[in-house]
Amino acid sequence: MKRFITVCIAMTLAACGGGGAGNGGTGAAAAVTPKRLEAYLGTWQSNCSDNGVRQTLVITRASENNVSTMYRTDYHMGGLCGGTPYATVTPAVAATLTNTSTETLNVILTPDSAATAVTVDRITVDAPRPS
Amino acid sequence: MTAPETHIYDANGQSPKKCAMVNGNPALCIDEAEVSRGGSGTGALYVRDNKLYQMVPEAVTGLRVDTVMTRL
Repeated sequence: MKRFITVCIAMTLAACGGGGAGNGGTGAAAAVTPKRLEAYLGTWQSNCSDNGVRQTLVITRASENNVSTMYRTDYHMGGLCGGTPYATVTPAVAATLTNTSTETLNVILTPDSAATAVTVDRITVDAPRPS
Repeated sequence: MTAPETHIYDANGQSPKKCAMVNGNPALCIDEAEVSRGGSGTGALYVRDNKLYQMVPEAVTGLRVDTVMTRL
């Protein structure tokens, strides 16, 4: 998958490539409860990139155990994200995220900062081929 | 894609790309196969202070932050 989510979350169809080993972890993976997914529901937007690209991600509940994601990528002229985009790309179908486990890991959340121990939600992403 | 579109093919007629046209020039080209392929994968999410961190597997540290988004 390319980015589902840029979002894997291309979610870029690309945030999704093979399973991570999870080294650097500070705790064992744990089973999850559907409740954890609620923290992700809503509309999310990336910063404007240097070349005028901005992504918007809408996450809605699909069932008790997974959420549905639809993203939109807007392309703007001149490297600024104001005004009407000259092109907008959306996938033909929504991707489904399933939370498989939680795990406490040391993660560098922002560039040039120290790693922080955070509890991340491991997910699987499924984007069906459009019919 | 909502902008005016055209289809561009490579030299051997393969890999058609759908392109948005700006002033008559292809300004943004999307590989249609890439868009429509579908598939599955893994990743990790973390949310804090109205920020959504999307992480992808990475060989050395296990995970790296790929994208940060802000809740609207």
